[in-house]
Amino acid sequence: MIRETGVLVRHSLVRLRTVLLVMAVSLATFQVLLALAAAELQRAGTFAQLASLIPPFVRELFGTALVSMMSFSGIMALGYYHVAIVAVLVGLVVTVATEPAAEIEVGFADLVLSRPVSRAAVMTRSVVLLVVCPAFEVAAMAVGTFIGLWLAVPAGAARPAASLVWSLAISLWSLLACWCGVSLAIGSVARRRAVAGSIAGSLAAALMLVDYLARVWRPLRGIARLSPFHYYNPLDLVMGKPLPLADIGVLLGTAAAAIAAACVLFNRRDV
Amino acid sequence: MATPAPPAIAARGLTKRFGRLVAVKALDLVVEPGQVFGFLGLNGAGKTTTIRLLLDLLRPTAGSAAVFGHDCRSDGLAARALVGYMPGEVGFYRDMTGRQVLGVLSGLSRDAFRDGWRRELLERFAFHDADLDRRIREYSTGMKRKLAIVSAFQAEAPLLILDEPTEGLDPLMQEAFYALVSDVRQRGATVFLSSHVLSEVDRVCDRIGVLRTGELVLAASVDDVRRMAPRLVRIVFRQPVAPPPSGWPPSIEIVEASATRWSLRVRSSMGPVVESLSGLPVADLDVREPRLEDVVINYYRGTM
Repeated sequence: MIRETGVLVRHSLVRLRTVLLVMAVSLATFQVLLALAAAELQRAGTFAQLASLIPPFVRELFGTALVSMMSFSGIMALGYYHVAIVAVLVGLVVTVATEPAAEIEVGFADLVLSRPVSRAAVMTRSVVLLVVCPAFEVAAMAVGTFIGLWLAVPAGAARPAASLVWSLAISLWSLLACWCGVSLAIGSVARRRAVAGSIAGSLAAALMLVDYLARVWRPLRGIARLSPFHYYNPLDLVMGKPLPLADIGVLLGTAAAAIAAACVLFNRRDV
Repeated sequence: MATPAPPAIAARGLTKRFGRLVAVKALDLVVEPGQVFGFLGLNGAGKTTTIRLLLDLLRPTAGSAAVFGHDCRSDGLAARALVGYMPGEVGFYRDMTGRQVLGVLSGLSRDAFRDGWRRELLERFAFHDADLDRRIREYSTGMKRKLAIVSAFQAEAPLLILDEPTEGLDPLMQEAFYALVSDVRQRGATVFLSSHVLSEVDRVCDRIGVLRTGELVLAASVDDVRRMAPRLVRIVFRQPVAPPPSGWPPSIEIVEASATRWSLRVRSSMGPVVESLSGLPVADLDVREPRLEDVVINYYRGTM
């Protein structure tokens, strides 16, 4: 099975390479620019002014984390919690995770599975990609962050520790891994990538919204525990808290359970 | 005593339902090694579903199927290692090149391929290096079909399962395909092909199976099926003659009988007809050999 999985992984990476590279370069560049912008704000001493411009409901939304956000480290870490960046990365994992559905839709699955290739090999390929692709993108972000820090830490600003950058990266990767599993489970029963992608994407958007709303509306807090985003708090890391291993455990545990479900569902289905 | 070789394909009670629709009903089918088996049926008869069940792409509702003795479900990898498959609708990614497609699919087979054989296949189907380096989106329908044929045959599998293989091929490439089937058969391969083209089946197949609404209604050798069809006999006389004798057996049917022309359908020996013609002023005698379609179409219509 290892050889067949290797062939499939290589095939998928060849097809995805342009997207992966363009996204990695963009994310890394964004991180460099964030570091440069944060340095400029630090030099101009405008963090306090910016904080005062933030509307009250946003203050309530973010609480004490807002203080962290309006700092050199907070701006530098923006890429790890900005909605657009997280949405793009979730979009990537949904795209990769729905490859089995795309292969069935196109008919490529017929060609692959009519060879002596097990369905487990197809799913293993997807799991490998779902580990490697987000890790590659998040690593590119971390590299961009380090380059930015190397280029632009102004005098008077505390240089964020390398452990903070790695904690942010591990935390983000765990969130993406969770969505990988959920998307793979959806993709393993769908016949069309568009359907699987829409369901997974809509679910991600809804659960992200639930998590944000729960921060300002108490009744939603119980439901928010069902959202993977509830277990992803990068600003806590910026504030100096240690890597939340329990939250990461929940995200990776969910990912593992969803991947197991995906394998069972894909093995039982008609292709 | 040597154990007899298992059939290339053996299906027992193979059934597939999609909700209320029964696509394949209790199919019992045996295809012996070395045969070229034509699998016939109208659209929606269940041919492709059967093929997909053999490849374990679909899971049967009941029954089982085996390829060279390997169960298609429980021992699917071993079964599929012996199969070269060409789907009816070829699902190549449009952004891949022909060379990439062949590379990926050959990488998924267990045995190493003979480069010489692949080159020969590409030459037979007029594939040039430049064609292989083009993306699939630039291929015509026929080019995609040819690439699918090469990908199915390149592994030199002992069983080839081909779903409507000549659809979209030009006449020259159809000829190349028939020659290829003949060659692999001589080397001992078994070919299981579904087709709508009865003349093609008549030409290349040893045996046929006819599927009607999921049920196998006929499985026989092509020669036997042909014998089930009547020969059409037309006799023209130089001068008026008496009507045909009434003592002919029921297997000789009079279609038309005028003073100078008889048209007959003969399902048996021509002996009684020849005897009756002795001494008559025969100007012309035309016997049209029985054709496969004369029988198969009746099975399609449900009149046989």
